[in-house]
Amino acid sequence: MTTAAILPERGPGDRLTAIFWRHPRLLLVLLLSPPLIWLGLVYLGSLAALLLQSFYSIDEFSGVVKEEFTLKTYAELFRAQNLDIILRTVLMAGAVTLGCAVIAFPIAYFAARFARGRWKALFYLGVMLPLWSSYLVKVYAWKLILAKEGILTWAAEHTGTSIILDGVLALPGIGGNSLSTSPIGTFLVFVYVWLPYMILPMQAALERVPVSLLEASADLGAGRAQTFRSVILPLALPGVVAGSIFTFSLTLGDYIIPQIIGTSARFIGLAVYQFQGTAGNLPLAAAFAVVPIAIMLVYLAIAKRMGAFDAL
Amino acid sequence: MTAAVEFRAVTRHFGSVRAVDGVDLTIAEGAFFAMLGPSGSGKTTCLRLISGFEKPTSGTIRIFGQDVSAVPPNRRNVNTVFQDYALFPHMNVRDNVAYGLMVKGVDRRLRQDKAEEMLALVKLPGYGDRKPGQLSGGQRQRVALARALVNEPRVLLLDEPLGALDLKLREAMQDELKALQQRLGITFVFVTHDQHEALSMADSLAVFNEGRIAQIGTPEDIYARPRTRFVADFVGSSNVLPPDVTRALGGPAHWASLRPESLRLTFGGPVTGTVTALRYLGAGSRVSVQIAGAELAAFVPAGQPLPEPGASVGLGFDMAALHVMEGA
Repeated sequence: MTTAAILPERGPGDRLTAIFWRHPRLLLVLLLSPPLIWLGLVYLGSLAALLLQSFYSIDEFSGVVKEEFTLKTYAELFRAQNLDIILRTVLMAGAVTLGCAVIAFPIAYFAARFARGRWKALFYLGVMLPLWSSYLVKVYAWKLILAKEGILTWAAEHTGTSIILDGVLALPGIGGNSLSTSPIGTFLVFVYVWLPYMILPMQAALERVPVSLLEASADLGAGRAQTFRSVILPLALPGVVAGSIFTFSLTLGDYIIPQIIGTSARFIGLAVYQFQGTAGNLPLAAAFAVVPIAIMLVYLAIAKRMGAFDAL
Repeated sequence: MTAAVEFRAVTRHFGSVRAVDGVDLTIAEGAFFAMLGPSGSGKTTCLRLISGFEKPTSGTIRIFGQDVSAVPPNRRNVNTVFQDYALFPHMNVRDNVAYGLMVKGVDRRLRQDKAEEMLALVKLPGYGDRKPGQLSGGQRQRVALARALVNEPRVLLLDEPLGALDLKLREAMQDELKALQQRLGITFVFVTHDQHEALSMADSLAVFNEGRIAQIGTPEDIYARPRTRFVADFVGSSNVLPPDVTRALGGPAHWASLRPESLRLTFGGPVTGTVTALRYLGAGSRVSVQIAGAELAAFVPAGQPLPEPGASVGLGFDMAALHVMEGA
């Protein structure tokens, strides 16, 4: 008995497979065009509109936007009060990124190197679980924890460590009446909220470092600290940078946490919110919104120059 | 003379698995020592016990007479060529080779000069600026070798160093490694599952099976006088004869081994069998012959007449080639 060299077509699925096989590009185009249209039109388009707005200015008497090209709005950014906002935001974003990196590293390292099976599942659950609940709920929960009548103050009183808490709150510039009304409180909540975004890319990067590299380093005489500096850190750096892009830019743009927790001193996000809303100064809001983008571009350029992406 | 490496009743258990099970081993200084065995036989674990990546469950390990039980890998004057080479991908070749010196705090200029020297030794001069990713497998292997040798270790450990290379490159590297070892006079300990590699390179070797050493000796010893069925089977594709077949061939009623190349095909004779299969090997052919209920392989050099499958042939051999094994 002979069988046919070509098997019969079994329906539209086979027909489609044949079309894609004959035109390999077609599938790629079909898969890519929706996201490209989205990215190109909706995202980049609105970004361009934003950029355009920032080059307009507002008529100080009538409050009407003058649609003429000017750098006047950008000049306004350099006014002391606005510069203050930018500086405060960048410092906070930098501190939050650093804090997240320091806390995330051991967790990510454990997950990448040692956690297997059930422990790995537990790790993912632990990291993701906070993301399941509403962001606002978490922030208000933290407000309660950090408040003067909150659990932290209570715990400090009952363990006799009030003196440490008071000492921290007495620090000039970052202290305050209570944790929930001080920049330290803002920092703590930011670190908590963005931590998963640092842990996950770090863990992914660390997972790709083969154990044999660490063994080779030890074999050649390096102690743990040296191996960390010369092998682990450079190889994990792309992950650290990826995570820091999240924590840094999310902090730069957030306008809710500084409103609820802290000194109610303004951050960029809050400034954008207020200028485009209550103040009706859309050009200045747009100019403020460009600042994080510019900062991120500078940040990435520095990271690239430092060789953060060499190991990619 | 002190031994380079000494194992005394060393065991290493992973849970209920006895990866290394009571190994006694002495590796002489300046030896090219091979640890041969199938995967899971404990040979790699033994190597990692020497480098310090594994700690013995019990027993003592001495390197040049010093007990290293409590010494971490970074303080053992022993270096490793890893199976996957483990080159640092973010460093160029020169920095990879100089890593051991950098760790020691050697001045930058000095260690770069030394790295270039080592690269010349492994025949890769001028490759210092490349990244490991830009090198071929054979070149990476050489860089790994240079990196391991830069600290001038007293023992060099090689974990299946040639496993990832293709046949031709592997043979070239075998010659080079052997020459390098003789030139440097360092003790080489290398792990392999390739019996040809072990026999051709080592001046003594240990055959591992299920966490124990089945036999230890020179390549000639192991090849010609296997102590157990496992060794005869694993080292070279020898015929292992059960007692009754040994007796049918004129020997004592005991397990024995008989090399395929010691068997000649004859026409007629006291021992005859049926040809069941032929396998062409290039330098000759391997003829399987059914005899006394067992299947024996005979090696027929190229150019000699080959029987057809199903043909009846006689088998001739020197009684001296029949090696009766002491172990079972």
